[in-house]
Amino acid sequence: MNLTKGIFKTVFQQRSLIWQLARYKLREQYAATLLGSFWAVLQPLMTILVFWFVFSYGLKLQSPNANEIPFFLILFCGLVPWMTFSEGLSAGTQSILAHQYLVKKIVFPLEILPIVQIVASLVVHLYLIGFLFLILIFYGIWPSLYSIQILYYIFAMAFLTTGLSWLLSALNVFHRDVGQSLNLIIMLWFWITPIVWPAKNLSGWALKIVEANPLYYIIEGYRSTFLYAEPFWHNPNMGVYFWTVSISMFIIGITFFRRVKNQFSDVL
Amino acid sequence: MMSHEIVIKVENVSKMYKMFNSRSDQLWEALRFFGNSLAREFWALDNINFEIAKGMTVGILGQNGSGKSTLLQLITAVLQPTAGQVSVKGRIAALLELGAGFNPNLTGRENVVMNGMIMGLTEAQILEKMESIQAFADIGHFFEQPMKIYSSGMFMRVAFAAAIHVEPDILIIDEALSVGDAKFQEKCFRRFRNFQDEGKTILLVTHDRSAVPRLCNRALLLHKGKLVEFGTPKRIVDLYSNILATGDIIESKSIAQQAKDDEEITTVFQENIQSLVEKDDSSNELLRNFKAPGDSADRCSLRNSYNNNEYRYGNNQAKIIDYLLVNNDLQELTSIECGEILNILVKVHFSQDIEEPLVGVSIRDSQGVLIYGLNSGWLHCQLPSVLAGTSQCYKFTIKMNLKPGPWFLEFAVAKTQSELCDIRSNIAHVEVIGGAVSFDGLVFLESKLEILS
Repeated sequence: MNLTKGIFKTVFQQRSLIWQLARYKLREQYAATLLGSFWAVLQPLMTILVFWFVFSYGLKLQSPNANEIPFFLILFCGLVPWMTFSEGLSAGTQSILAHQYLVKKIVFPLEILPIVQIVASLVVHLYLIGFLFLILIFYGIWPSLYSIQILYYIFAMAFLTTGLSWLLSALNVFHRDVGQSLNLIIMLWFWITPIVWPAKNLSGWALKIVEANPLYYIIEGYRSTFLYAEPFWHNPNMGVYFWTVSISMFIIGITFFRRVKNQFSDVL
Repeated sequence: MMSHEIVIKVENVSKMYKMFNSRSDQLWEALRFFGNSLAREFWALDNINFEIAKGMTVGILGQNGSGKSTLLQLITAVLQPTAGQVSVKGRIAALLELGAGFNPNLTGRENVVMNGMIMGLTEAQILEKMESIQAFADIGHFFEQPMKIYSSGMFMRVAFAAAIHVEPDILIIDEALSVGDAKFQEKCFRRFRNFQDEGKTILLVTHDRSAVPRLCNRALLLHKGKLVEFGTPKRIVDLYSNILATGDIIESKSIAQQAKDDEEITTVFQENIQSLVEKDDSSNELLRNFKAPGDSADRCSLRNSYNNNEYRYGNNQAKIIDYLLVNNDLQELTSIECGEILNILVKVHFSQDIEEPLVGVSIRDSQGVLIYGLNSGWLHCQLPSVLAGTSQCYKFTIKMNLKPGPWFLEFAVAKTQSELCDIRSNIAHVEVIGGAVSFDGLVFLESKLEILS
């Protein structure tokens, strides 16, 4: 428990450094491109369009309540958090390797590096949320008071990603296999999460598995915020389960990270 | 400006590196609570103790692998000591390795911002100093280019400029300056002086032995992870030279002990006296006595100009057993007028056969800075080979065009340029007194002034 001490203080003290690093990271990523940071938004939007086309026209998949909410919106609300989560997690896992110049021969609070990546992915996320609002308005769904609770779900998602990233980024320093296998895991995770298919099709043990996935809470949270207009306290069991998993992950992540971080400079 | 306030205190510090067979072992070691260690141990530093007061400029000397970098990393808290304690007062700016803390994909300007923020400055504070940093780095339009295209000199300029502008209390530099060109080095040294005047503390790792007495007022020497000594730059440079020459610290026995030892092994020697350059002066008693065959006992300490604080090292295959400083009238002297000729006579006893031995003299100032040095090899004098058990006298003639003040002589005899038999540093002290010429600086370069019509 000692190793988790002061992590919030560190993050708060280093907030301007985190922000600066995140800004430079985004700039660096698109430095050699003509369209610049437009790529950050273009790529996820194209993905959404492709999925929408394939499922709506290719497979003729329909929304379960066909007369209520168009399938496209359900898909959009699921893909937006998913893409931010997967981007944040894979960038977070690579964060120590990507910032080797801050690991060796310099005193630096390495704990903030995964957070930098997550903050950078959240910047892109805000653009996507903005886009989501536009699409919703296009479909005649106007922002309501419930829309504010998106902040809660964004925080919940970032919190879960941070804990996971601490664990994975530290492991990745020792064994690059972690980063490699993560791509595979993220792909599987995508399909077992009800993003492009509705969870309501499932029952019994299959539903239990889906509900054990902490991301289910986030995805459904986004949908209830924008589409179903349900408050986040509507599903307390899921909430308690999500936070139990996330907080445990957070503590495991930071403890593990701090336990092994002195070894980083020797291994890199 | 030195004060008595201790800013860096290193107490019983040891650093052990663990070496692993694989990364898995290393990860497991960091996590395990019990069981046997999977590591092999390597002690990079062993029980180091010293204190550095505010305002000191400390040179850190030692061979590669002696633990210098580890020590600096412990002081900057990049590494944690395995045992002991390091306490530091004040903000440290460190240039430990070129590239540490700099993102090669960002421009010089962006990296300066980042670096300042890592050092705990706010963005506004950094931007305020940006103009001055840019001017100091002086790399033109490269400042706006990604640092990956920089030369190592440009990289260093930006790193150094950033380091000195974060207003550190302690500045730590690990050999980084050596990549700068002469002009930039000069600028850095001027900055060093400012730092010293402001009472700030500087730690400097260097292999440049002449830089230590010039820049530092203290020095410390590390050898194989141990602190050999913390003392005056002159003394430490001598010790370091000893290590470089002999590979270890082999301090010659004390002069008295030496003389006693020599007496014990005194036998009859075949004397063979010859000198490099010599007038017929057998009439002079002083010279006759000097050249007279005798035992191999050390008589250096009997000379008036002998310096008690001499520093001696070498492999003892030959020994300098006597010397004489005389003017052209063959009078022994301890002071000489600027511009006069100094004759240096050195008597060497050989305990091994040596083919074409080398003898040399050099002159240092009171801070240990080498002003002038020469040896028979550089003079293209092939000295005749010598036999074990013989003694030989040599004479150097030097025009003492030096600034009035104290000067120290070093005599050396060697088998080859790298096999040093006997080095007696600061063995003699000569005072140069003002002569007919006046000048500024250390040496008079025989100049003339004419009016062109």
